[in-house]
Amino acid sequence: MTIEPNLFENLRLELRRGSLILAVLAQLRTEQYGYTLRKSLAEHGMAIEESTLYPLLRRLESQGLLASEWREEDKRNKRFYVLSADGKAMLKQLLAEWKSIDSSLNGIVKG
Amino acid sequence: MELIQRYLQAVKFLLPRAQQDDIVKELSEDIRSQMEDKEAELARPLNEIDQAAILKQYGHPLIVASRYRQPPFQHLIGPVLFPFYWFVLKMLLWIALAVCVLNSIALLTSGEPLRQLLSGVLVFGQTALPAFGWVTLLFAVLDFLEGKFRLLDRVNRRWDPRSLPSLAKRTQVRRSESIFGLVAGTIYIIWLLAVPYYPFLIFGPAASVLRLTPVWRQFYIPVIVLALGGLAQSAVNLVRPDWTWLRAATRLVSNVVVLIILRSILSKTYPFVTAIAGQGTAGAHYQTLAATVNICIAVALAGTGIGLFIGLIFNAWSCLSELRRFFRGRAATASHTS
Repeated sequence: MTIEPNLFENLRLELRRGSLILAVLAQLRTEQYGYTLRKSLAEHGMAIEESTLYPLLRRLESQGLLASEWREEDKRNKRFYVLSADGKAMLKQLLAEWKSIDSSLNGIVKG
Repeated sequence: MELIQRYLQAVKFLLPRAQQDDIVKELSEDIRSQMEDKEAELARPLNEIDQAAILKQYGHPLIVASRYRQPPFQHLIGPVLFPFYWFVLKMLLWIALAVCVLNSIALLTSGEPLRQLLSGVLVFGQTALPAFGWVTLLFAVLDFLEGKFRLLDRVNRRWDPRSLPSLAKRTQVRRSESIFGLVAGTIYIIWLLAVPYYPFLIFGPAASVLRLTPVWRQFYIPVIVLALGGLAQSAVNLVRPDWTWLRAATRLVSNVVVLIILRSILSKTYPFVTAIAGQGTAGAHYQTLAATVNICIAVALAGTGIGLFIGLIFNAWSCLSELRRFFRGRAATASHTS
């Protein structure tokens, strides 16, 4: 039975949605601006659309998990993001949660 | 670069005002970085087609801007309230349609020309659209308040599962209802048949001075036929209580016919009762009594009409529910046998 492409795509996006937050927080252990962050995520196999990443960064910042500032680099103003203290604590908790989920899922899949 | 500026202008227009400049500045920087990478890849400056391809990857300004909106403004009416909103809109649609249909039927029965009949149909838009607007505004305000004050969370915290309504009983016409219908219907028909010979049954002691006008004669037979129909329905439902569709259909037809009769009566200035000729002051007293009774009857008929109209909505809804149940049952039977 062939799987409808739209259905797979929708479910795939749902599956990735939560992991993207973890990936973004993990990448921002080192300071980056939006474009380089997107490229590094893509290089690690976590491609994310521009129209998804920037609203996500703003949301995480409004939740106190990121800090940002505008700085000039190569004669251009760029907004740099990095994990805040709360963000580091949150990342640690989310990683523990991720490992727990991974372990549970492995158990379920193996039966 | 003009294309990029036009794109950023379009996105900016749709963004929350407080964040417009900041977001556009960041987007602009991202687009420029992408363009530089592309120019390095192509080893030439980008033309408008290349720029358009990059912007197409970002997406339509509507979509880009929508992702920056934070709750409670993401929807006008969110998923919690939307089912209720949709239900109220559908009810309003049927009510407006019923008003329009009744108006058209009334115009038809009054012998109005076709043009008037069509205007009766067009009244649907005048009735429905403002109502839809007010309902949408009301639900949008409710949704905003729900999102801002988390009303549903508060309801959820206080909610006790034991307060849920009891299980709905299988749809049937109750035996007591059918028996009551038979008894009351029989009494009603006997009364109707006796009234022309015993005016006391309507006027009581005033029967010596008041008389029904001939206007009632044209509605007498239809009213008796309706009463007999109701009696037959009660009798059938006593034997077949699962035929709930019969009750709904009978009520609906009865509502429509009575409303047409009422419309016909009230559209012309009939005296409903007259007084016998009396001598001197007694005659004047009888006339006053007849006038008072006429007003009371007119008001009572108008009130009955309003009640019947409301009843018509519910009965129409019941009939629709019965139809849906019927077709669902047929579909279930068909899939079971296949």
